[in-house]
Amino acid sequence: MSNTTTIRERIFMGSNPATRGKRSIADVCREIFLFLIALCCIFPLLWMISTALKGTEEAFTSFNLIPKVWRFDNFKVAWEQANFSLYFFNSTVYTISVMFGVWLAATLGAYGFARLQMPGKKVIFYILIGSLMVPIPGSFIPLYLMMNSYHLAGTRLGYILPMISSGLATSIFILKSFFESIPKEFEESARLDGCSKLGIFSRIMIPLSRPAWVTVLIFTALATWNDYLWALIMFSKKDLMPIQVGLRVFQGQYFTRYEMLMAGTAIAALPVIVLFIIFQRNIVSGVTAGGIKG
Amino acid sequence: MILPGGLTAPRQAIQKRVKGVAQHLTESKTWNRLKDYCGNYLFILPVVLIFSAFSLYPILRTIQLSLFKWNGIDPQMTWVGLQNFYVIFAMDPNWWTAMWNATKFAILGVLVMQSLSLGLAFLVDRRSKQSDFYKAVYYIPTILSPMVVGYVWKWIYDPNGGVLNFLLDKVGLHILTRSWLSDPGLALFAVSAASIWAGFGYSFVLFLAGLKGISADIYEAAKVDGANGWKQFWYITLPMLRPILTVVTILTILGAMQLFPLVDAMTNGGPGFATQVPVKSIYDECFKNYHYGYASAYSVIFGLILLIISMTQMEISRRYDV
Repeated sequence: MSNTTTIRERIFMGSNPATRGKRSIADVCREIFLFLIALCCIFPLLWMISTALKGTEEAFTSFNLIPKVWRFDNFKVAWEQANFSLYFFNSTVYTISVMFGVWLAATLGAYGFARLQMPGKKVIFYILIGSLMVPIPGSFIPLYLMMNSYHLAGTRLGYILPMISSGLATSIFILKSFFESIPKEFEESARLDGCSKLGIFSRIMIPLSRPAWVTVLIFTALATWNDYLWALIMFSKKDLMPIQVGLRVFQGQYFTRYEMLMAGTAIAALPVIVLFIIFQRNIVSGVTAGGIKG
Repeated sequence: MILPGGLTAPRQAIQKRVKGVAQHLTESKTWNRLKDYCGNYLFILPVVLIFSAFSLYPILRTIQLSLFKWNGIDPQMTWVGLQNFYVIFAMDPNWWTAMWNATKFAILGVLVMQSLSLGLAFLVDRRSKQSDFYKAVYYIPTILSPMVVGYVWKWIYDPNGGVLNFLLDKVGLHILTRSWLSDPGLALFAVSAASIWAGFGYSFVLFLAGLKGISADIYEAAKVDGANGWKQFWYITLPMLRPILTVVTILTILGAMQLFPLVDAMTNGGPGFATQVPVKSIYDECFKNYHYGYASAYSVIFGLILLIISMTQMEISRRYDV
């Protein structure tokens, strides 16, 4: 360990004292630059919250980050009068349902693909993964027609089922490689003890693969909460709309009042920000797991 | 039961034989294995069912629909063969404007966003002690929905109360202030900037992971051989990053070309067709003009182009690797 640090130090910090001083100026510049970029990432969000707390006039005239008068009633109006409580509830229902569906189907399937013997398994798996490489952006047209003919267009179920499907391929990919990394001895000893396949799956594989499926669940939650296109196609009535489409309707009503729009936007962004703060490590390491191999 | 030779066997003999076969089957390994397979298939059954119904079938059906003329209501679809495709290629400049815009988004994404995130990853890797902090902060915009990003940036760009014009004014660049999203020459760049803000964290994290995988010994050896920082980057970092670079490039291109909610939130395709994108064309053609077949033909063309892009990209990287 100490050996690697010395190598790194020699390379990056400069090996002789004469260059060390020069390096440190470069270090400071680099840190300032990196910090400025970090500020650029955060500032639009701070600005969103700041505007959301201002009055209409102040929003357009004052460029202070801290509002003169803190007006929390923008949020209240959005929540109570502009249906945001309803949109929020709908989005929560959809997100939890899709998470559950993906969890159930993807863990079962990934375990099957990773460990169980069956003819044709490889072909099915490659078709599944191949769909990640072949995006047909307009497949929402036949999907909508199908939902229409089964009278599922504009219903919660009609929205949830395709959302589950859209998350499956990536989830299975992440879970499968995790299941493959679990030593086979666990299963073998359980089998000798007379445990059934389903028992092995639910009592051994599910608890062991928890980090992997927690990651999958977080990404599913983000994708479902943030989905716009499919929700736009499915719902024309407000009472079933999720928040992203609700935000669009809201923008149509308040398009000149940015402080209201920012309040609505902040409500839509809040859950994912909270999720990110809690699961920051899982999310960042999950990107590398899914991205590099996928 | 007819036995070979056309003879009818005595009943008892047949029963005996059937019993024997059944017994043989239940006891044999084949039967056990068959039972085993059936149980195993149950594990992947939910995935296969959901996936075939909601992902696979729509792809095939899109191809079928593209050969018809249909308004979505008539009980009969009219078979037109390849006419939809002919019309698109011969006399539909708006679609090609949208495709060209998507291409511009992709080029900007690959050039600007990738160099930004690669540069930042190079600066953070092994040099900065706060790499976890930067990873987290740079990733924040990525988790936001495109609608949120779109509305926040629309407000920042606003010509009347937007903070961008205010800041430009403050630093003495009043000459640069303008109505960013209503200028046909600028709108696309403004939208692209917002999408880069919202997406660079993803490629940054991937590049950083890739850089971490390059062992310090290689740099050490290069240093001994007299390679400076720039040469190290060009001859060690870039070649060793190629697999990740390929993945990120494909993802960036596919993402940038399929931009839709962001455009919908910021400009709605305008001014004119300046920020019209293919997915929006498909949506409008289908759900506003009720040309289901024609919109499906758009999808097929667009899907094929995306497929060709990712195949080409993978082929290029494969050739380099050999």
